[in-house]
Amino acid sequence: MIADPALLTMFDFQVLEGSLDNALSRPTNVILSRSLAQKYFGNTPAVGQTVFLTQGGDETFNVVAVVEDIPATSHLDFDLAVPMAPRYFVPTAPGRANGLENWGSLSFLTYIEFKQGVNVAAFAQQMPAFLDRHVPDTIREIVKIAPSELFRMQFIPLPDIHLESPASGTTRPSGDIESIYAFLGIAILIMAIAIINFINLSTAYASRRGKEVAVRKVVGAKKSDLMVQFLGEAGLMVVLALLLGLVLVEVTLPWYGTLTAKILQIDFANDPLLLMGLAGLAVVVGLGAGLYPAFVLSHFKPVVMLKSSSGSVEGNKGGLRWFLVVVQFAISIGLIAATAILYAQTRYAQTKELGFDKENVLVVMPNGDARFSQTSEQLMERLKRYPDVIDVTKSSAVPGGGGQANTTVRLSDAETSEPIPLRTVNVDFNFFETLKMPIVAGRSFSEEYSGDITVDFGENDRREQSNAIINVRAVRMLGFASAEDAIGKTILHSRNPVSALTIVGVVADAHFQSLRTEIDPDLYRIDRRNLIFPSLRVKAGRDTQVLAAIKNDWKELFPNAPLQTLYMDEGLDQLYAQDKLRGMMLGTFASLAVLVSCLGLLGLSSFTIEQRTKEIGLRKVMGASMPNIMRLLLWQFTKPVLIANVIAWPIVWYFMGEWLSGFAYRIDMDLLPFALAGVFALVIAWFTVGLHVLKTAKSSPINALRYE
Amino acid sequence: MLKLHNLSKYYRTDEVETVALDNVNIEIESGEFVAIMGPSGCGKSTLLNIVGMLDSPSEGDYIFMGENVAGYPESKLSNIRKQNIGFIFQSFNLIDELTVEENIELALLYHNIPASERRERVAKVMDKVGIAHRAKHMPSQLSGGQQQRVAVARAVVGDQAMILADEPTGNLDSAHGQEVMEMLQSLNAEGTTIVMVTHSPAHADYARRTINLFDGHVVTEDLRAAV
Ligand SMILES: Nc1ncnc2c1ncn2[C@@H]1O[C@H](COP(=O)(O)OP(=O)(O)O)[C@@H](O)[C@H]1O
Ligand SMILES: [Mg+2]
Repeated sequence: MIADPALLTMFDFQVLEGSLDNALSRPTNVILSRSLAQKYFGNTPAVGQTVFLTQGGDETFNVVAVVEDIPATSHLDFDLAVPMAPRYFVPTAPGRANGLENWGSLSFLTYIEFKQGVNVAAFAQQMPAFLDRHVPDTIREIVKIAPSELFRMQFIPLPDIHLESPASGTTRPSGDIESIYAFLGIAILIMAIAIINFINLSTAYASRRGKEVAVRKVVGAKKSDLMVQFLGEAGLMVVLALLLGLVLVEVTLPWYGTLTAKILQIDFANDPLLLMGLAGLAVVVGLGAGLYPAFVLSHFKPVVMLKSSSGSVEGNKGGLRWFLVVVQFAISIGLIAATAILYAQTRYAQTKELGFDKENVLVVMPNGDARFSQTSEQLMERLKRYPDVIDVTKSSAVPGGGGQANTTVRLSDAETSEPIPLRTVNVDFNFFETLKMPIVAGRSFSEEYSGDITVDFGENDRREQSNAIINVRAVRMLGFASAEDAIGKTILHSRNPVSALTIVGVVADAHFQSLRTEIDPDLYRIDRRNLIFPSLRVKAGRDTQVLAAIKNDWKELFPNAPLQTLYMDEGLDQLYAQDKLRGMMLGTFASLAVLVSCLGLLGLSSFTIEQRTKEIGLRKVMGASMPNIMRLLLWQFTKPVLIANVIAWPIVWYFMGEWLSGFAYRIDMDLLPFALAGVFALVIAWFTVGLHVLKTAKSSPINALRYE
Repeated sequence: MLKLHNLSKYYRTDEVETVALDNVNIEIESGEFVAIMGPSGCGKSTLLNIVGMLDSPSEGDYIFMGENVAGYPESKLSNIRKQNIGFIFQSFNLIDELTVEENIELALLYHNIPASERRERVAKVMDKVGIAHRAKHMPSQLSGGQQQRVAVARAVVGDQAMILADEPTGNLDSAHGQEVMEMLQSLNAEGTTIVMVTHSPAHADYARRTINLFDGHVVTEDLRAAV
């Protein structure tokens, strides 16, 4: 972490060694966390020792303090803190401002501690004017719009930062509130299924307790006494379930944490709000599950109960029961269908033709060293010589790897000419060849043409001149009739009209980013000042050998920096890591929902089939065959599942349609995942009741009719 | 019509073997009205169940219309049963969730008869037993006698050649019991073979022959002159 000295006074840190007073006031001071100090110095005191940092130029730092590791619940996370200094923010190109002074580089979190009672909203409203007052005129001249339109200041209360924090290196990965709400919703749905089971089974089997109720009533129990008894039973069940649930949470939390790449901790003892929430949950679930059965049970009429030989009441034909089964299956089917759609879209993203060949491409990640760009040239020269390396190139951006930059161009220097936004990618020769991006018109860059390389007229001259290659999307954006038509045309940098770019080729569109976003109109130039990503295409199956070779060369060229490489296909997969994770979690929840629904169905089926024993026996006496009976019984359980489909489909269609609309490139929603979910639910339901149905259908009718 | 030859039935439960029927020989002619009498537990229901092909004998032969059905599998028995045999039970055994009409129709449901013909035959048989005015009622809305009339209608709607009745009057008062007996008698007059278990000597008098069972044996067969 690179921080202002004020950070140390604004937040509390637990100092274990040394002192935080003026700890960040000298440029070569460093503060270590307990675990890092432990790692480097073991149990000997760290303060007074030195560490060697490569980032920002190799230099020796003095350890002045050791602080306790930041707790997992804090958004701030560092192992090592050094004072803010320009050298960590090297200019992206010679002659440009460094990251501290560059108005285009906004990668800091700034903390503001307000006095008590300050209205933050009112304060935030003053910020546009504040920006317009303080941003220098030079910026205004370049962008030609007011600074308040270019920049926006966003204030986030610190307690909310976990869910709203902008991505940033020094904070822990933030959650995203939408996923949390979505999964909360799903958790509630699953709990609804469980509550439904409880209601269904306890009212179904309540008839079994009819005699007990009758006897209690006869000896003088009031309705309210019985209500209390049955609610108490439900409550006890819920409390047991809650305790079991908490144990499960404790056991699965670490696993869940690795899954979500988040650090999860629950401190039950010291969180009264959480405890109250859990107690509230128990009460709500207990009442939700227990109230109706308690009501039904306590209202049985003793005379009816005692007269009836089986001690059961028919009464309500179980309409509510079946309605609840429909609800359960609608939830399950909905979750299955949503999972299927999510999976299909993720698969689509991974298998779609991207416009380049992502397989067998290795990217060497820049190490933040100012000299990386130059030293990596030497690395490239060495890599070219390996027999297992097919092509080598460098670029300012790689698919799935970041390094995006944007610019605007114009077709002429006339004032009327509109600026057109393009994404610029600086590349080296061989870029299109290495990534196997097809040229659709004109030619690729080649060393035979001296004009292909951006000419640099020196530090004080803003003129630039070079040939450029654009993609098909850019051809359209720029208004050319066709790719061929664009060849030979000249475009101008709108911020730097003295720089002309001649289009010599058109390359096919390629997805450098997630399929959520449209393909950008791209402008490719050979500008060697900014090529930070070396990438190489290796022979299939030889990547481990190449990696080992790179490691050796790297050690010689960058003795102090760790090597970081990225397989391009994995980098691209990473774009969908969140979606995959969601898919996995949704799949887990869907399975859970199906399981719980089936447990309920199992209980209910044995009850209802038992109720129909006499009827089934009679039907058999009348000549019904085993298949006749099976069809009859299965239909009873098929009907609610079919109705559940009718309810679930439109709802999932709507929500998944919303989700898919977040992708610029997406699968067409069709009925297949819905049909699959429906059939799956039906088959599972059949399997659940199947054994019982089969047993009943096979049984001899005399058993059913004998003891009447 | 049928002949039981050296027929025995054992029940084996938890190492206790009950001999429900022991070497029984009975012959019943087509068009007969036979009453079976005997103390409780002597094997009357077991006999009726075997004759009705709801159960199979442990030993011996059961020749039904010239076929020895003793070893037949359930599916085959079911087919013969639904063509030829109707049942009446002591406790009526109507399905509570179905109307009178539907209860009777049940006996035709597994016969591949078109719905319109089913309705016709149900209407006819309801007229015959005098419950047409209760067609849409639920069994629970009827008196015991009415319920048993529905059961009789159900037993004959498929034009079965034989009706087996296990204590059909056991749950009825004497007036209703007599009503049912008269119904059975008139069915017998039309040619239906009837085998009936009863405890009432008066009701047994409706039959032309009484078979007395004791402890799984046939003790006597009394033949009565036709009424
Ligand atoms: N499924 C069975 N399992 C064991 N024993 C049975 C079974 N059915 C009948 N029995 C026994 O067989 C004997 C004859 O029974 P049953 O035919 O019902 O007599 P009845 O109808 O004459 O009263 C009785 O002892 C009875 O307990
Ligand atoms: Mg009996």
